Amino acid sequence: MPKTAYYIPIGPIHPALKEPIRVEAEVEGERIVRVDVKRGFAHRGIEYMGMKRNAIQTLYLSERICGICSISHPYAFVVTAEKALGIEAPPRAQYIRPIIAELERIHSHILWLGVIAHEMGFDSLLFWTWKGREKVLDLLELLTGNRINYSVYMIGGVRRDLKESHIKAIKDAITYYWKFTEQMKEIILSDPVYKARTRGVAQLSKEMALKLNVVGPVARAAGIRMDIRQDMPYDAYADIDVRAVVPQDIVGEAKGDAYDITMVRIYEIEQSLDIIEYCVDNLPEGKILAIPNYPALLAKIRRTKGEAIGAHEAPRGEVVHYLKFDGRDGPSVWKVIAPSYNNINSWAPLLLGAEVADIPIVVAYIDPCMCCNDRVALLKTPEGKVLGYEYIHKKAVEKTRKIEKEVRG
Amino acid sequence: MNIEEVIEKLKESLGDALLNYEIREYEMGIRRKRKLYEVWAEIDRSAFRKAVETIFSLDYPHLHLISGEDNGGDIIKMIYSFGVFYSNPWGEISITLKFDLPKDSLILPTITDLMPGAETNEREIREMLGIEFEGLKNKRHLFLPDDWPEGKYPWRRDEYGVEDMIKHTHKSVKEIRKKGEGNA
Amino acid sequence: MTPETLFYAVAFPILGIFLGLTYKGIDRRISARMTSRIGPPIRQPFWDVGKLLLKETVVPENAVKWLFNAMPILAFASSMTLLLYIPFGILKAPLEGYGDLIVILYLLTLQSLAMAVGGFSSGSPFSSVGAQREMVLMMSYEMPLAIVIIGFALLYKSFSLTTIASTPVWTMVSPVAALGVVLLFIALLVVTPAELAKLPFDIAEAETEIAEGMLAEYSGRNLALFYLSDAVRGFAMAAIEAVLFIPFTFSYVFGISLNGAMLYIVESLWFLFKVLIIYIAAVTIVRTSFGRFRIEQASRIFWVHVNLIALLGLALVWLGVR
Repeated sequence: MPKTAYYIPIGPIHPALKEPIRVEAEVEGERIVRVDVKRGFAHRGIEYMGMKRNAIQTLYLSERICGICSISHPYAFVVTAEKALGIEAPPRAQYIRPIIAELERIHSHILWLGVIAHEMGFDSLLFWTWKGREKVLDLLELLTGNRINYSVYMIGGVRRDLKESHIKAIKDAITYYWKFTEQMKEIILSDPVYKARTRGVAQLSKEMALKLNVVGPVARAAGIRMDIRQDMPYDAYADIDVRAVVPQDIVGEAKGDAYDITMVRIYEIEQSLDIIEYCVDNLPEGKILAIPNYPALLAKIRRTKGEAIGAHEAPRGEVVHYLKFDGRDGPSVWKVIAPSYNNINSWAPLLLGAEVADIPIVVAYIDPCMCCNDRVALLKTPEGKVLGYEYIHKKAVEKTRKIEKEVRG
Repeated sequence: MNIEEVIEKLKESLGDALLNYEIREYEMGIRRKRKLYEVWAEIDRSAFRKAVETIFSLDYPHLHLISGEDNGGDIIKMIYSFGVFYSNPWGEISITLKFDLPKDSLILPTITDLMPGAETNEREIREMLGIEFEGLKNKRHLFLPDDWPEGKYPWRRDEYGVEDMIKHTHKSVKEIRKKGEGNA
Repeated sequence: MTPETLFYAVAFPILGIFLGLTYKGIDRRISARMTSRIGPPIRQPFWDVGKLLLKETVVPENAVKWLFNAMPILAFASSMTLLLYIPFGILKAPLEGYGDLIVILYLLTLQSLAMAVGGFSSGSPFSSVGAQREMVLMMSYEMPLAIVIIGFALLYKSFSLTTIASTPVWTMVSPVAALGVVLLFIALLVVTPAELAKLPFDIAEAETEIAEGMLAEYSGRNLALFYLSDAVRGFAMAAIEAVLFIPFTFSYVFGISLNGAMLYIVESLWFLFKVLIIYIAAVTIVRTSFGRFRIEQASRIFWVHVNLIALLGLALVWLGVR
């Protein structure tokens, strides 16, 4: 193979990427010799916006941080806010929250399995897994009214109660997913092509995982037993002894490659099913909101001064929020750390020396979620003058008119 | 190692530089109440590196976040949050270091030599608040575009802020509606 | 040149394009049904080509322009020529006597080569990587392909496809040689998806890795030509396999003797049916049930496993013939 180095830009728009990010790789033949990761293409300044709005608005804003794990950020937000404000959610709400969060974990993990299958060109698996995912999306729609962005959490509780019919639907779905997970294990974990494409790819040692500060399934696949639900439990997770799912418990040793991470994710679906079963069976009676009146809640927030760090174990890893309330009805400081923020750290070391064919798998195996990073678009004249919005809008209109004229003749 | 021992260690190595500390307890669980502990320590900025090294000597920590707050005055309040003894059920102790950084010397030692993964956090703080990290190798912008103007930091609330550069995002919904600018 | 040849020269490509696109449509439909989707209508490939022909053809700035534009035409021409060597049912191949299996081998190679050269000349890093991969892959699968052809030459003492088509291979071999032919058939079936750049060997066009690779920069008319040559090649490859390994005619299988126009119609439909079976078995089912290999894994498969099978087949054929 020729020894000339090629420069391959992956992104910001590329079929392997579901969200914008840029990986610049220098390639010799099929080997990657230099990597640079550029992020921030989807930075929207959400934290900045949150610091200008009241807490309830910010809660909904936090839901828009990520499109896939849309309940994780609100969960971390309410946990943090309750810590900072000293509110305790009623027991029933504390049991409903994990049900929604775990259902979301199921759909997110299945989504990832489909995506990684697509990345290695295994489209049939993508279609099959996503067909199975429909059921949990339908269930979430039944429970919350939406397939995504559920908007059911509130500081001090949840906004929607579970009815008898909902519980029956949840139980049906659990039975379905026990079977489906069993099939997935059989189909994905024992498929020779899948194994050939993932074994040894994106291999992260335990030491590297610690040093790169990775979180969630990526860290667990490397053999680190870290899981917020286990280390710092909250809500109903405190009653259930959740244990981190690590490959050494399943097959004896942790290799930390893409195959192990698949295994971790599939077994976590089973763990989620267990958690949901427990929550549904032991659902306490009672109210669902500590302070049902929102103006009263905002008044309390205005009166309270406090700060806290809270976390939730999202499907991709831990979501950490820092909130400071300082006499305003919203947070005066809000810092969000999403799992991909840390997990993207692993790209550069893992891609070095890898092959071009491995880029999509390395990129996808952490299940990147770029939404949590934002960007400000600046347009400049060649002299460096920043162009205003009105000017750009005027130019856009002009161009549309011009094209219109060309097309119409 | 329990929470008292952690505090002892911090006291021992920092001495007077440990200005103030607080142990926060959170009771979790409905059927079985158990407690989680957090340490919130206010330290002197000169002892920051020492404090981090002490934490690393306890256990290889997990960096939760680095954040900073500029309330428009002369200082930036920095927050570093580490988790130690994680991977034990109910065992993680979160240690939060807080210190003030005067705006006339916004320099901090890097911790990337101890934890390479902290590079992301430090680069973000550097571009968002304008704090220089001594020893940070990669100083390129992380989230902001490469042609971002010098001396503008989005999280600052003083003359280095970006109020004049952003059209809508910093305004509340009410303000936008009032001015009728929401047609964009 | 007789008027007959002229007629063939015009009619065959048109027929070939029609059949190639139809088979592609059927392939997409079946693949969709296998993955519980509805799938596109069977005429979708025709619409695709029509749409591509209407689109603007863009040539990248740093491409080698004449090479970039010539390669789709070369690929299309070679696949059209390929058609003229295939005996269609009991019809004789139009170019019979002007070439043989070796020419077919070259024509198949020429298309991959045209795509690779087009990729290199388009000046995009994705295309270059794709073209490199295509070359590596070609070097890997040409060997088993050549072995299969040598095996047939040994059997028939001839490279002519019409000779082969006239006598079914299974009727003239000893049991040992028959086993060898089965092994050669297996080897050729494995080579088929690689030759046609279909999963699991579509490494050179891997969408998620290098964004369609060699075809990344092609658009409009050029892409339509590649699309057509790909469709025709798919049909031709399956047809060659049908001629070589399932040579039985309709009347032979069912013991019905037909004559006149009826014979030609029935035999042609029977031939198309055989080709469809092979197409579905070698392309549709395989591409639906596998993920993409890495280039070095694919190379190993061809160099070690497929080569072993093909060589074993060849040895058995040799033993059986001697």
